[in-house]
This record gives sequence, C-alpha cells and structure tokens, in this order.
Amino acid sequence: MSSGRLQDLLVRRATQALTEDEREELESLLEKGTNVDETAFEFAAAALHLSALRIDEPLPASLRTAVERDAAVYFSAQPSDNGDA
Amino acid sequence: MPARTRSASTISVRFSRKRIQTTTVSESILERIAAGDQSAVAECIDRYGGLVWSAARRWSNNAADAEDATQEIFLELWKSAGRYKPSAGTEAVFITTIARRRMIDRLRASERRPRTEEFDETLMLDFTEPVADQGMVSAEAAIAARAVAQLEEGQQQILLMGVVQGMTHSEIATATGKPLGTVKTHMRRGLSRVRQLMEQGAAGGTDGGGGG
Repeated sequence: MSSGRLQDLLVRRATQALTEDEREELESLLEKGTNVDETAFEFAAAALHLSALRIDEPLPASLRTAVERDAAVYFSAQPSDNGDA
Repeated sequence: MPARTRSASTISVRFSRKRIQTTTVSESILERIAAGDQSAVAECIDRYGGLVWSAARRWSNNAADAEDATQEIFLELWKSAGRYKPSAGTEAVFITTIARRRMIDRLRASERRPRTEEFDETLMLDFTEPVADQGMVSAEAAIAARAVAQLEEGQQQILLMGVVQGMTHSEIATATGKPLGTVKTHMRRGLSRVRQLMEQGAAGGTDGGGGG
C-alpha cells in the first residue's frame, strides 16, 4: 500500500510541487528502502518536456555574463581539493 | 493573467514514429564540472544555455522572471553536477530535470502558472519534423516523443497538460472533465511507459515497444 502511495508522490513530484508534508512523507517512504527508482518519473517527465520544447533562442549575452559571474563566485567559494580526478 | 482553464480541444499534438532522428551528446561536461574543470562551465553554458533559457521563458510570465530562473537553474546545476550519472540518462535530460524542479518550485512559491499562450504554440509542434531540426539535443527526448505517440489520445493529452504545461492534476481534471483518479492514473501510466521506452532505448531496443 505504501508502494502505491510512493508512486503517487513520485509522480506528483515529477509533475507538480509537493507540499512540505508530502515531501517529508516521500523522504520517509524512500528511507524505508524500496527498489523503486526514485528518479524514473522525473527523468521521463524531463525527456518528454524536452521533446516538446522548441529551443529556438540562444541565451542572451547579458544573461550569459551573469550566469558566468555566478559560476565564478560559486566555484571560487568551493574548497579546491584537486587531489584526484 | 493568462486564462487558467483550457478546453481539451486546444491541445492537439501530432506525434509520429517516423523520421525521428537523434543527436547524442558524447562528452560528460557535468562530470568535468564536478571534478573542478572550470573550462567545462563555459562549454556547459554554450551547449545548454539555449535549452535552459527556452524552458525558463516558457514557464515564466516575463523576461525578468525568466532571467532569474535561468540564473537559479545554472547555480543549481553547478551544485548538482556531481550527482549526474551518465548511465542514468543524458546530460540534457538531467539538466531539464534540474530546470523543471526549480521552475516548479518557483511557480508554487508565486502561485503562478506557466505562460500558457506559449504552450499552445509549443504543443502544436508536429513531431513528424526531424528532432534535430527542432533543436533537440537528447536521444531520450526523441524516445519520449515516440513513447507519447504510442499512447492513446486522451492519455497523451493528460500527460502533456501536466508535464509540458505544468497544470496540476486538479486543473487537468477540470479542463478535461475526467475524474481526478483517472488523471492520476493516466499520468502515472504515461510516465511509466515513457520511462520504460527510454530504458529499452538505452538498452538498444527502441524500435518495437508495442501498445500498452
């Protein structure tokens, strides 16, 4: 029975937002250790979304600059332990 | 400001199994980002900037909102790059997953719906066009389109309303006149079918499929 509920929550997460209670419920169901692939529905939804998405406009230059600036700030704040790749 | 309720007849998608071509992504840019290779960041923006921007535009009410969403999605992407596993799917699908999560959260926070006028156009896409011509970057997207083509029309409609338009299950039930339980069932079965075909595709057997 919790398996049906788990599937229901995973589908909801893939297609619309979960409430805070639902999010907690989903986490607790997943922690119980099921053999459900928790990303399956989200990946399917993403692939479907992608198939219907017309990618017809490049990222505007000013926005690209902002994204690059954000990235530089983010990565400069990360610990640089380049021990092993 | 856009109308919320949509009649079922406005969704008219023609999926076809023929002439779908795929373009696969060879290198894992995300793995390089996770490993600290900053040159991969620019490459990632080059390759997927259009995807993220197009998705953000369609799920935002104005340009400023779409720009904020795009910045948030990329930031989330840098944080999540280490979770990407090539065996689970292509980078394009992984990135779209991140983008969808972010946009769904934003929509929920502001109680807005995606810009539906854009989606009328999007949903009228004719999938008999080669995927590559539509700017596709993922083999899985082509498989997903093929999977949807195999579903019955009512199921296709429900799936697209939920996944592409971002309508809630209740809104879909209202728009289609179908019981909420039926909407949920169609949504789950439809997504399962898409995933199943994606897995078959990954295993090299995308062709058959058969009805379900």
